[in-house]
Amino acid sequence: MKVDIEYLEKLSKLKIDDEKKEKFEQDFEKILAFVDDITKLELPEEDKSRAVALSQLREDEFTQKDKVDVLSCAPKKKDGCYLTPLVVE
Amino acid sequence: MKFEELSLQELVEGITSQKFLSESVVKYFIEQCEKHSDLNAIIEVFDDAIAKAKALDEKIARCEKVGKLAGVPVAIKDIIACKGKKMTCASKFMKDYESPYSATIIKKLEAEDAIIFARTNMDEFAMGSSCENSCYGACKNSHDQTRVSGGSSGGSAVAVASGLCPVAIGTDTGGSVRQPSSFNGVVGIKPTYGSVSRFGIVAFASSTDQAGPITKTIEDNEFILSILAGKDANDGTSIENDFISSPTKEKYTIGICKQLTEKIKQLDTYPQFESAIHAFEKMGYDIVEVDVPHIADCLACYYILTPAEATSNLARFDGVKYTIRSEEAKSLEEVYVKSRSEGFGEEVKRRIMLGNFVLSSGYFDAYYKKAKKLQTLLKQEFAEAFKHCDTIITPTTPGEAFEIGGKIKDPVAMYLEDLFTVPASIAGIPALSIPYAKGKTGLPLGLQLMGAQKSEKTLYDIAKKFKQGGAQ
Repeated sequence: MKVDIEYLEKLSKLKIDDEKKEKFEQDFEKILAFVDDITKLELPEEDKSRAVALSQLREDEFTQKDKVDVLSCAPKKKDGCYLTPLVVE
Repeated sequence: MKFEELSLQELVEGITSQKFLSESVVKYFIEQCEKHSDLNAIIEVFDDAIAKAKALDEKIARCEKVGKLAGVPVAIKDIIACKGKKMTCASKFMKDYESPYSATIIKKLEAEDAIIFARTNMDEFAMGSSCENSCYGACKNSHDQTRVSGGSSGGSAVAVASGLCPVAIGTDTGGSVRQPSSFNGVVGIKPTYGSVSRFGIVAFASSTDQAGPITKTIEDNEFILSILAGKDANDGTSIENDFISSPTKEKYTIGICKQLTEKIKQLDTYPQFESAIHAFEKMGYDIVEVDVPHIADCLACYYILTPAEATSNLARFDGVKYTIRSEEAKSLEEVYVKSRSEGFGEEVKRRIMLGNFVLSSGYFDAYYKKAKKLQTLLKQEFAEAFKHCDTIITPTTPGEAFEIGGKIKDPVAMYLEDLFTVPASIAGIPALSIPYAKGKTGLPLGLQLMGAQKSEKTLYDIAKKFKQGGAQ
């Protein structure tokens, strides 16, 4: 199967180096050929039993006692917020 | 004293009876890590480990109560958060990341007075079967440095096998504890899905990720899992699994999966596997053939489901929240694209894109939805098979550890390494790998024992009896 690598790059917010692109595409097609048999199987409906039942959810109350500094590893931060380039001028 | 020759119980007993100090034990293993740095199994030894050991020794001297792992040094895979310590997932993307909190399993180990003393090498974000996809370079096999350690928890398995630590914690999404354990001649388990909390472990594929101990002996492994297991309010998928109190039997029924027989017979290592079956027969166990009709489709199912989950889980690495941001990025879009392209390695990129492919419009039903349906069916097929046997055995890997560089350029060849380990991951059942024979070049081989949900006790018991029954 021919794959639109540019489209997948866009979806993935990734860029594959130009010199690696050809090999990447070939490998990708080999992988898809390898998993492709699954598309031909006739299978019963999916089981949703693993999904968490509403009755299993905890009470909606604040439980975390330890304060965690989520910004501690941010590359750029200011006044307790993540800092990014301007989105709106 | 060679501390690596002692069992965990002996180590704890020695430390608590003050026959030797935890400080001496920790120092000894740190020296071993330094001496064998060429294996590239240990990424970092934590600088507060000796101080922690000393504090514990003082606690013992004051006759205070201590935990079940008093003073035992434990190495952890570089994907498990330990407060104040670096954790990089062997990725350039995380190179300066310091965990702001500890994983539940770290808290459990520390509550039993274990000394978390080092972090181990791995494939980047746990994606790989050879430990070559690491920003620190490949980890080498403990028996032959030209061979791979296996992966993704390669550093953890090599560290235990080479006597750099008495126990290491790995994580297993499709075989990442069992395969390196097999390649290095040590014991590793992937527990029943949900048995061990995933809180504080960086997610690769949330529906199959499980942490598990790697140890030299089956007894040590069981001991550590009994400490790690249990429901955790911070992980909604965690379950209570009090496997340790399950009953054992005198004799067990060993299952051989009919649909894998031909594949196993074609392996170079089939004679070793056959002799394992004979050993079980000699022990008076019944050997039965069981059906898991879709087992051979597991590998395809795995390489659809786990990239799909990885795509979502790794979306958080965006150049905004964690450590690295591309210097060249001018706009927010560039922050995302350039940071991710510079930060992630090739295999991680491949899996993210594969995940986006199977989730994308036009392919979702044909691939992802089909794989989810297959997962349901496989769980039912395994449940049916375990009505007829206590365990299904397979080789853990198709062969011995392969050469470094041998498969890294061919992703499909690398994925085929996971043939026997992914079924248990897809079905959420426990699977134990124990060393049982040597291959043609003298490297260790692992035997995999899969069991029904929460049957860890049965697997450990069969494995112990198999070892006592004269296996190598």
